Amino acid sequence: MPEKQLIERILSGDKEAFRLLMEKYQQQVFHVAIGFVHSREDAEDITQEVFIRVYRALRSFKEKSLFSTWLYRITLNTAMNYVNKNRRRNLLTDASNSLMSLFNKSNEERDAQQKLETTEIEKNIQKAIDELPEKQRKAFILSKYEDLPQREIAEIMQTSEGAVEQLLVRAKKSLQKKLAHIVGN
Amino acid sequence: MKLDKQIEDFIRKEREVKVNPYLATRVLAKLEEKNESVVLGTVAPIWKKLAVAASFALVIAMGLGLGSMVKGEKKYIPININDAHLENLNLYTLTDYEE
Repeated sequence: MPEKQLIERILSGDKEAFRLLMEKYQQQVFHVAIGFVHSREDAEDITQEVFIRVYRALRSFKEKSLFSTWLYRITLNTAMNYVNKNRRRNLLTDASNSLMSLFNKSNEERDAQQKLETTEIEKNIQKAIDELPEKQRKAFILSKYEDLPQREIAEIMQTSEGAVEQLLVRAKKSLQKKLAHIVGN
Repeated sequence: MKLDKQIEDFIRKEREVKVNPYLATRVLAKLEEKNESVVLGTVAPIWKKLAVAASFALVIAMGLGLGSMVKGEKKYIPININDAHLENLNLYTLTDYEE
């Protein structure tokens, strides 16, 4: 069903249409969310919050941009709010625990030493991504977790393509600088 | 290059995580719980609109009625100006007085 029709149905009170819309976009929203929080539970909380916000604000969606662009904007804002709200929590410990459980299946095949090293590397990469400045982090996550082209990222972040390119270059350099010690090992 | 690959691997692993298939049901249940509707509350019922329009019309009519009840008596007060009371400007304009 075309998106426009789906939105019209939701606006007329059809909740099943909203379910279809969620099913269509939930994985994208979830990918972006996991890029920010690196934990399944937190990413699901963000995804849920995003769709509740979408439902409440759908009437204000004026179709000046694509629905997906509007949805990604809400996702970025919700994820950043979530991250800022939970800053006090020891995210690193939580996320490493979640990652351990998430990737348990693939880790089963490895020996214990390699498993430990992998987790350490993952922890470092995660920390480096989390420490990126806000704009670089948003651009990086949209580019790497969603494979979005720079033009679309620029539209979502309401900036120019050149600015997005710069953000991505800076993010890459920053990660390389912060993680240089991993390559050395 | 090795680092890039490690970052790519980390991201790929995170991307492989699938969202809970019941998430949509959970969201709908949450909305039901709060009894939210995208339709309700956004469009005011017609009787509300009519009531607002009627109250505006009533206030305007009352204002006009009260205004027309006032019978004003216009009093014209003649203004008499006695030139003799005016200050002599020559005091300021003639240079003879400056010395």
